[in-house]
Amino acid sequence: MSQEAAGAAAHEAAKESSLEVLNFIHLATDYVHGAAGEFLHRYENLIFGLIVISVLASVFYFASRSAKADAVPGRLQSACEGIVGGLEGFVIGILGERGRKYVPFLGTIFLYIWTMNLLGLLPLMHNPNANAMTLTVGPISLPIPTTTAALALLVFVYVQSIGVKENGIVGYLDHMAGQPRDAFGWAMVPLMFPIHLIGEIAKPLSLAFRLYGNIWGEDVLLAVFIGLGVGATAFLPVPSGLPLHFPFLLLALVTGTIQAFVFTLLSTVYIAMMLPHEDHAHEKHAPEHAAH
Amino acid sequence: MEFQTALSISLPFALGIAAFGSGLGLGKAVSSAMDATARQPEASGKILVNMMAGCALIEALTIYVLVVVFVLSGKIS
Repeated sequence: MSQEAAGAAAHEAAKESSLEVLNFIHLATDYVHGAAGEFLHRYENLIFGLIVISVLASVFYFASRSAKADAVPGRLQSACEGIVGGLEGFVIGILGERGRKYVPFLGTIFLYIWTMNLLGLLPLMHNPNANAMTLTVGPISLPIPTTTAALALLVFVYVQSIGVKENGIVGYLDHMAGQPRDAFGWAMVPLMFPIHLIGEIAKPLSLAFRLYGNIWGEDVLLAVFIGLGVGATAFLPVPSGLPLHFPFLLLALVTGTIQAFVFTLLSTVYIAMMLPHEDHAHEKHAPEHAAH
Repeated sequence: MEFQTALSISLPFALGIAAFGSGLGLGKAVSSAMDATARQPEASGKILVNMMAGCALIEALTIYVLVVVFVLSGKIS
């Protein structure tokens, strides 16, 4: 394991400028040649995403299969019901009772990102959230995240479609223009509309880069310390290594959970900001209270 | 001075400045959370959740700097 880890780390360092820990697709492409090997190498992140989906789907499928409707729930069913109940309480706590129909999407986003982050820490597994393609524009080369950008795009499309569906197209444009009510509001529209537009674009960008940066930074940190641990015992004739990366594994557990939670929290807050607020109702109620 | 020298000198400073700013911001956030929890210990769960969210948002800025540092450090030969 240590030789392969060091070899794969060196291979990746030669290919890109960042280290990566070995995963089983890298091992498989060493043994499978030709078109199948190319396929495996190209769709590496998709394969890990499919593994996460099948793990999640099978756990929750087996939890929801009960023989009778009034039977005492088993351990798996109770645990899954606890998770779903916790997510539902969290989303409704922010959105109110009308947020119940958004719970499936937000809960699935949380579970998908959380499971992906946790499964990526197992040996020979890889976290697709840490994957990015390098976009070179002239002298600048940016890493553009792939999987996290897909998730952020999903949230962006969902939030905008909620905005159009709940407010109507006129209400949506009105919200984007900063809700002009008087002459001053209408005069500010050419300023408010681009500001809101840029704000709406910045939200999925920040979601994608936040998740990617945290997970990729943690992965590179782990790879560097695994390399250090392997190099520490390089004088021994036996392939071995010290587990110097262990505290960072614990940190990766914590940050994986926190980043999944923050992604879901921000998505929920974006939906809350897109739905009709109550603060405009406060403006209408204030003169009535003053009249009393 | 070649650009590799300039990058090698400036990248650790960039990360240090980002960590410094992030430390200040997070210290302020956690300090407010501690004050709020001391004021009302039974709300400590909610305060912890909000503090975690705030800390993740503040930390994200430092993570952006880390990503840039990693990308640029690959350009040093």
